[in-house]
Amino acid sequence: MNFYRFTDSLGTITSQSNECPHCRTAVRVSNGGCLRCLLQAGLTEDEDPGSESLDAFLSEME
Amino acid sequence: MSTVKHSTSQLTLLAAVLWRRCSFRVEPGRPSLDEPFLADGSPSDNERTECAQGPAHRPPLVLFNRRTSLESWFLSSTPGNEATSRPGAFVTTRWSLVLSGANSKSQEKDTHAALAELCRIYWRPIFAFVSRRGYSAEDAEDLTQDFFVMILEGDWLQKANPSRGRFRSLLLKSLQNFLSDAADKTYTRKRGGDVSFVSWDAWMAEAPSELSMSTQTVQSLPAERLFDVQWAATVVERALRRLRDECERKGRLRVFDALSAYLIAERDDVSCASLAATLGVPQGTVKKLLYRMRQRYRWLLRDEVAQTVENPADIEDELRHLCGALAASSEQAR
Repeated sequence: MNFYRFTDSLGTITSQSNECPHCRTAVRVSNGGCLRCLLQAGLTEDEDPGSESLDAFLSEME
Repeated sequence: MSTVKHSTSQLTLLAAVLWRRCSFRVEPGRPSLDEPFLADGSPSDNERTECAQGPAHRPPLVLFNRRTSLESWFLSSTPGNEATSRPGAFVTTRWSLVLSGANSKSQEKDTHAALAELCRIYWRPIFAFVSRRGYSAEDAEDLTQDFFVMILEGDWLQKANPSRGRFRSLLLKSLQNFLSDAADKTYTRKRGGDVSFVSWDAWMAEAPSELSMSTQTVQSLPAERLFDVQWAATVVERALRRLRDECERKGRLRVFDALSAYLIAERDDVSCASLAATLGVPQGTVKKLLYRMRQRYRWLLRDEVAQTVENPADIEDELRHLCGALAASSEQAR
């Protein structure tokens, strides 16, 4: 496999496996979170809070 | 008039009660991350009525070497995302828009714009798949470009029988067939001439991936699995980016920076005291922020998935498929 460009399209290729202690998957995303756990979070469905909910709260912060 | 007002008020109250009864379902078997934050952190009913989330800022893409309608499709604004950001959304998504307009001349422009937007978002899985099949970097770029041309300029949807499934699975099947045809033709390609190349640097700069994988994982995965992993990463990264943009628009980027790492943290792993000190806010504020950020992240994630399926009922299946692909990838990497 030619890694040129393909590795450019990824963020980081590491020599070490960084396994998630919860699901044992070793693929991480930008915030350092485990990709599988971040996906799994989507399986908990909420009613749409709208961005207003977060926005309003952020606005109220001093 | 007063009767009407009274009825509206009653309906609003009924809706509020129903909403509260239906909300906050917790995944069985896993302790809720949000439980400590429910008491005073749940959104008001008014907060559910609007969603100011628009599409994330997208710098224009750059295509060069050939002027085709492909360019205008990629540069077109995309319908759909604005609609899906409103409450009760996931109705008209990019993929459902594409499918509904597949055989309609009158909807051709919107259909192509939506399809082009999907291709623009999900170019990484396609490129990863082609690269993993052993093509040189240049050929992988060219093949990816040609695949887009086939999708956007040809009658892909009609040929692909989009009755039809999800965008991801249909795209993967088409890509496999496309590469099979390319192999039969002993694919050789000359750069330049009438060839249209996607500006890779612009695409990467537009949405830089910060996916981190070990060399062992990358090398152990078959192309199909790598495609799914890249797809999952695209979905998650887009949801995170939208959440980040929402915080940034409010001048609260530091909140995202401090808390985004805890979107999936177990309750015991979150030190509210430490985060409160970092952000200079009371611990109660940290709890509320975490609750709302998690809730918002989940919604954004599901919205991203919704863009690629025809039916909202498919969102869960799609998420489960991608979770399964990641689980299998970790097994293969061992």
